[in-house]
Amino acid sequence: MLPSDIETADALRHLTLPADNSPSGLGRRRFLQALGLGVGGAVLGPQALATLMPGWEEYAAEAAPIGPLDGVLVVLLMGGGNDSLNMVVPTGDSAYYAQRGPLAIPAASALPLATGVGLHPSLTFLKQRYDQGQVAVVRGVGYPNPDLSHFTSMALWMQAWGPGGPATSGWLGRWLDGMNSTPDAFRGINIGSGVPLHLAGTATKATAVGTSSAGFGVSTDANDIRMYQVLKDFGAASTTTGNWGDAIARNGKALIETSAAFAPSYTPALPSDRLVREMTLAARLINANLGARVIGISYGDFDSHADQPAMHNARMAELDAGLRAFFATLAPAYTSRTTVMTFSEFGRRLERNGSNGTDHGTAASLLLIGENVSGGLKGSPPSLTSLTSGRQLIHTTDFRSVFGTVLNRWMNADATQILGASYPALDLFVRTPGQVVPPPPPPVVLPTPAMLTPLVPARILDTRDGTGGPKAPIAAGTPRSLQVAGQGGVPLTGASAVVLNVTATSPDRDSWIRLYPSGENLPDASNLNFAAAQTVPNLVVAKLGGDGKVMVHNAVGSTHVVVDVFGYFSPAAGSRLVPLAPTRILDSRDGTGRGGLKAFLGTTPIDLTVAGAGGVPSSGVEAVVLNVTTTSPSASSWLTVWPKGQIQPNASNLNYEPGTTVANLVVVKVGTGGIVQLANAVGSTHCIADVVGYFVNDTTSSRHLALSPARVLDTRNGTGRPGTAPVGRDQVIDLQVTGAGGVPSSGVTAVLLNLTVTAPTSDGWAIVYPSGQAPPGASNLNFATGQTRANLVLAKVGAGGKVAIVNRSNSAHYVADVAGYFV
Amino acid sequence: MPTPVADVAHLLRRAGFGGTSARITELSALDRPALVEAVLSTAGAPADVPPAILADPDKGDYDRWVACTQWWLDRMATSPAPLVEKMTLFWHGHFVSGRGKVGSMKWMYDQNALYRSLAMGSFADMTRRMALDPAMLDYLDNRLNRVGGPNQNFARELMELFTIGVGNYTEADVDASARAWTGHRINSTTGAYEFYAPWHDTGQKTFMGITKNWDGPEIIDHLLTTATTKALTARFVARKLWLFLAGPEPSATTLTTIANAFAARFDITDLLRAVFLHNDFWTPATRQGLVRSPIEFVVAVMRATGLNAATANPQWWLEAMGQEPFDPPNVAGWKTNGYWISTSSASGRAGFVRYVTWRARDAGVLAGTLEPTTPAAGVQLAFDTFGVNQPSARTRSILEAWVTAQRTARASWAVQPNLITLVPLTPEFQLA
Repeated sequence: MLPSDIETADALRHLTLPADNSPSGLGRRRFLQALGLGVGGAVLGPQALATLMPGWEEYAAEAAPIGPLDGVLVVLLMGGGNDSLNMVVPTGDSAYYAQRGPLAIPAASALPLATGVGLHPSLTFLKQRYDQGQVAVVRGVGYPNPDLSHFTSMALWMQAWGPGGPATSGWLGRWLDGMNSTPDAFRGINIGSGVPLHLAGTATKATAVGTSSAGFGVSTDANDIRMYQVLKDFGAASTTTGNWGDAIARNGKALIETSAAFAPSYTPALPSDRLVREMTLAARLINANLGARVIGISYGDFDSHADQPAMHNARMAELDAGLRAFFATLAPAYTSRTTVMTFSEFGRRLERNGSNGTDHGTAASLLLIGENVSGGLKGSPPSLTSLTSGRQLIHTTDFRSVFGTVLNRWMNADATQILGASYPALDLFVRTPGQVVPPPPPPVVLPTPAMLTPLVPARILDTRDGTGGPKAPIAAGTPRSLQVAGQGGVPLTGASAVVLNVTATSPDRDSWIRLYPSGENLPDASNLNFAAAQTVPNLVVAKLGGDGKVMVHNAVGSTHVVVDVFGYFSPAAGSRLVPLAPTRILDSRDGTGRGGLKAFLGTTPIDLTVAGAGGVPSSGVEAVVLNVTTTSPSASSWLTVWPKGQIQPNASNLNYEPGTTVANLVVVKVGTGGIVQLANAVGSTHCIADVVGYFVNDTTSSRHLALSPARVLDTRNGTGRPGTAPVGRDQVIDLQVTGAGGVPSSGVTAVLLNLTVTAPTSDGWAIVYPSGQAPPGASNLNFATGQTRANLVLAKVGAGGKVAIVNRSNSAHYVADVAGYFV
Repeated sequence: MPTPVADVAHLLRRAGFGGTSARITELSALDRPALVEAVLSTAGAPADVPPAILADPDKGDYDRWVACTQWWLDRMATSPAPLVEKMTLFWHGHFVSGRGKVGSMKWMYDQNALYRSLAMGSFADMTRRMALDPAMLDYLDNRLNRVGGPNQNFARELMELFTIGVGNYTEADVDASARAWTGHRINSTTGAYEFYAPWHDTGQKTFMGITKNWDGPEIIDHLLTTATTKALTARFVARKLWLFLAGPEPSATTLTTIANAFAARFDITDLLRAVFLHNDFWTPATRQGLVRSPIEFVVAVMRATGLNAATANPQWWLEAMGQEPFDPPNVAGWKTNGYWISTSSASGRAGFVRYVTWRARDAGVLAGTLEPTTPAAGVQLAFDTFGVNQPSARTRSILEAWVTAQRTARASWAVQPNLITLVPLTPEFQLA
């Protein structure tokens, strides 16, 4: 029986070696020099070592980060002989059910991988990864003339030395030997109190790290530091107490040096379940980027001679929990560089024994899990009816083919040298380390350029009163399908996109709303963000689905939603855009646009002459695009903007609470005399308007192309701007909008961006303007400390296809989704 | 002719857990053969009285393990016949059972007492008794082995790890032996061994070329009396004991010499005598060729400081060090030397001596290292206290320089406790 503590594996080394009693501290340089190779030379076979005198070399324990294309291998030893027939279950093979009897996993409870093959029911995480194409299940792995002794068979696996001979070194240990630099305490790590043979080379072995603490040597007290220095001094040169004395002293020095480096990975406290704890620690050690390339973990006991189900089911549940914890902990920066591989010294016999268990077997399945693994069933399943004379399975894949492929493809090594022979390569990886999944090709945009027909505002959805659909709030995850074509002046056919003002009101949770074309997938984007109980509007230029509908999706909780339509885009007819750099044409605080009158807007509508103002021509203008801001309102209220000459519609553009400053984009049809009207509903407020563009009836100005929303900026994760730091005061983001998110790389005059601010550390605002110009005295997005706010922005494209966003707060993060563009 | 003090110290470290300077001086009057006979004497070994906790039905298995561990470590540290305890530890690592699988500490203790009673006696008796020992029957599943449903676990390890070694038998031999051992089980009422005839396979079995109705004990008789397997067993066990007591791999001729002494009648004291009297046991390579195992390390620290196990609490660190009494890592037991050298096991050793430091300081250990003693005298006192009788000049100078630095830093108070930490962590102390 093999124990749960498989540092036993190190024991093996000593059991199997006829001449193990030479200290392991033989320095690599000395070793290679003795072989006449010099540093950087090839790794020779383990038997060469026996004739060498041990040497001594300074121990190096300085953490060096791994390279961007370096592979990391986590080797999980399932000690004791894993019953892989109950891990990867041949559910389609009657021989399995006949021989296993009550020990067999019923086909109905196995997690199906393919016809006739399923996973143990506890392996739900593994199944999920398998379905994502990230698990290779290599079947029938073994070696000729299998040995049924735990120790001999495990030694063969760990040694993996093709020419045979005594197990004096392990395959990954020889890989460590071959690294072309001084021995590094962090390159190979084994979690536990020993180092198993596969991680021990002829000149180098992995460093053992404790499972519960970084160990002795992490105090910062001056007396303790002097004491640590004594231990380092003991190990800094030959002790003259012999080779074992040197090895002890060198190990003491390494303890002090490695403890300091490992210490941070033990906080916060590790989980208590052993494999979960060790897998979590392994992921943290990779995240710490100390230079770890190989990490060993051992667990068991799998030696299920008696009462197998309780034992094996527990091991399978532990395996799944351990893998789940590992990948949950592993930082995204390492997922394309990390592969987990399992192995066990053998599988178990097909036949159930008389103790409701299984005895030692031969060929077995092993697993490779990782983002760059070639997922699927590999190798041929061994026959369950054509067996050896001892009624054992006959292997179909040599384990050294697996190891060789890992060495060649994942560890950038010469497998033939390390294994002492060449073995057929297997299809185990789709990409080498660090290569990421190629991004999906940009969406093929074949829309027809469209022109605007501005409309007198009309309400087409109000979930509070049942306008446009059920009289019920929109719940998270249940998007409301909104019929737009044929409503509020939008034609039944021919409209490609619509200009909507969307307002969330009475939400019960902090949440956000997304609009997307009916028939398409939910985009990674948002249109408006709000906190519980707030009323927040935003303008949305929404692409219509083929059925003339848009989907309104709420992310969290439930909220009422109001939608007003202000115009539609059609390829057939309409007006075209001339974008402008923002220009202030109304400011009630200083009398701009009001003939010098500095006064609040009351509930009486005011006239704002847009024709001839701020770069807008004095005639021929169909609609203008304004960014309207209200500030210092006296009451909870809203603002409506509409064409002069029309009755004030039942619609709203901005909603605000006393003392707040809010902004929203407004597309409004120009009314009689080139005038639009604005009205505040309750109390009074200041009002500001910046013109950012206008629509005219000509054949040369820009037409609109709607896009499904796509994220082009997220300062939190480096999208569109390097780094993850927040944007500081007066810092400018020069955002490349052409060639991004579906926008063509040339010919674009303006883009529609939904700009969101999050986590601002002070009250402030942002201004969006053509790149290469000075920031105008305008604003696009206003916010208070800590708020998440969104606003649609029509941005004229500046130099180099970029728009500039300047932050006027202490610091904040910004997110931008592109929703359309003009050419 | 008297024996040099250094030689006496070497033998007392290997044949026990180190000697006091008084005991070393006393024995140095003897010549080498007389010295060896003195350490082989079991006179004065205390009676084996089970820890009282085993009779207390209210105590759980962990408490029992702590009590048994402390009981045994104290016995190692204080027995006038320490070789008996050292050999009990050796057999624990040979005929392995472990509490991780064996549910009963009572069985584990009974097995330990059995090792002790035969520790320096007949290996053949030991093997026969072990096959019928409840802890072993449980650990290697022989209690479940029955006709029609054979379990190979014990049958395989009997040959692979207990007697002749791997490569000297066939799978067919394992099959036959497993069948022969059917019916040797534990009585579920009494918890004692019983032969249960209805479970025994009475059919013909072919073991090592002989076909008959084999019974389990006859397998052991065959292995230990047939010339080839007897010789294999003697070499296998003799090599293992040499590695345990001497360290470096024995030469082929050395191994033949000691194996022959053993094979004559499988008397363990014969084998020990052959080891201790062999010239290779006294070479510089052997003297520097063995690392103290964690249990030896712990016992040596307890002896040097005079702290008992209840005070030093070594059970809290033995797992990290890699060696727990009553819980070997696997059926192959513990190995030697490089097996004990890893940073995490070093962390366990350091953690233990750090704990012991404050208990020992409170007990006055190394009080004589405080000023006005010179650094040299203080360090020498620490070497004497911990039995480091041949420190290297380098170790000495590093420690003396450190004492001076502590005094310069006006922290000479820390010299006494931190020497209790540092001297056990010198390479000299950690070598056996």
